[in-house]
Amino acid sequence: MIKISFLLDLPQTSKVSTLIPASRPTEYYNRMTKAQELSHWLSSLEPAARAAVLAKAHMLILPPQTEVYAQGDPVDGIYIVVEGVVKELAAREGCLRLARLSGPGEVLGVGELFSEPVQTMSAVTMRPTRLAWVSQADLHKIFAEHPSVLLWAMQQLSTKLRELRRALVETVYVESAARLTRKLVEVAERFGERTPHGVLIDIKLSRDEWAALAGMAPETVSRVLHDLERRGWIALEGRRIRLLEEEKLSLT
Amino acid sequence: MGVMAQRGVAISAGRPKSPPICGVEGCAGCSWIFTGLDREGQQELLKLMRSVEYGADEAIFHEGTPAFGFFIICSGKAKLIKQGPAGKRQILKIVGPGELLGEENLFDGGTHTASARTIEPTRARFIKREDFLDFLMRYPTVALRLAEKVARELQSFQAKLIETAYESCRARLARLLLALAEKYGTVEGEIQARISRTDLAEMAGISTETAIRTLGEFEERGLISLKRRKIAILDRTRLEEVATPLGAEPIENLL
Repeated sequence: MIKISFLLDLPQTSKVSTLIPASRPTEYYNRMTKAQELSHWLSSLEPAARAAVLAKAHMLILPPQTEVYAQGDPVDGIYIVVEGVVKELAAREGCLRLARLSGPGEVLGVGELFSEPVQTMSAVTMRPTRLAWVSQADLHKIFAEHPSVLLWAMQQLSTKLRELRRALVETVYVESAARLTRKLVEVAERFGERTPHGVLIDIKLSRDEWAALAGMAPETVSRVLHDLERRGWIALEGRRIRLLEEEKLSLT
Repeated sequence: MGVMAQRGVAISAGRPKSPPICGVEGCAGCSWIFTGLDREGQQELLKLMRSVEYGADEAIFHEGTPAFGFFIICSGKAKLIKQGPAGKRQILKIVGPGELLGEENLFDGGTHTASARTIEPTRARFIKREDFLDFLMRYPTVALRLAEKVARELQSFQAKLIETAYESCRARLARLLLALAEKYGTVEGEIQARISRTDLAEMAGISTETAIRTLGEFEERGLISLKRRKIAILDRTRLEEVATPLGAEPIENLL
């Protein structure tokens, strides 16, 4: 893993500093690139507020399968996904219960920032991923000086709330097979790779993780996936899934 | 008092209402997000408010329509409803005096993401979106409290989603009855709110038939007694056991 920080005042006790393995070389990462990439996702902010966030953002360059934080870790700030995919998982009673995939522009940890002392989900990278981390202490200083950044954070919260409510109503009223099919199409649209033979979901998720994504029992996931494969609508390639009949799946 | 009730008290006790802002007689206080607002701030907020009144079972706003602002409930009760497929509906929460309605739409594009309807005659104060965002920029402490409120709601919906996906209808209904008792209080076990079976089912996220059948089963087991729209809890401890079969966390702020 390679971690680049442009700041000298990176707190040594933070989780981020513990992510740096001493044996890996530090890669040069252009300051301008960071500004350009992050600016894109902060475009709704006025220039001074945007600059304040950029000045305190630390870029994390993480390989796949790296844990960003674990469920129960102290909340240490927010992570803006600049590139890649992050899987968030919540376990209860030792069982995986909720999963969410986040891509570029989405913000991790914003729900916990205002209300929780610890992370309610764990976060793990699924692809080579770049995250912009802003510490909780820095954020609160920025909020005080630039209240518009607080409104931006609240907008991120509202978006997540809206998504959760939609998922809640779907869980209640949409039959589980249809829910999983919709989830497949959604993940393919957001993160899939178009190939001559359908859309490949090149994110390796277990049966339990698909179950947690769609809010259903893992046994049902196996049944539905094999049924879709029998119909020729999808192909199961190990832990990867290829959507062969995207249109038919979308109409479910 | 059972585990759930204790936790419920702890949650509500941590958030006492702010002193009344409008000065209307009989007002028991406003939302906790306004706690600590100085006199100047209160006066400014007051200037932004417009009084609105609704009869029982009247629409306040519809899902998908532009959100021009949000409401603070002064008296009465209203429900927030999300439309599901094939005309099905899910009640997301019920709000009463001092609580906010539609505040989450202040930040996300200005469209109502759910509908609101009164349960009983309701008086409220309406504040325009732009006016309130401008107010929040000048009073960041209120903005931080509002962020905490939305974040808590986010956590509670996350827990609700897990509950809905994995727990039985019995547990959901039992939990709802306990939450209603916590929220509206009980007199000799009787919950001080009149709620139809259909509304109960929609709040719990189960079918009306299942709700009616499960309520009947609870009555037979001596957990509750039913009188038209009034429900009394007879055996709280056993009802709590039904409510938390996995010992799961109770749901905060859902009602």
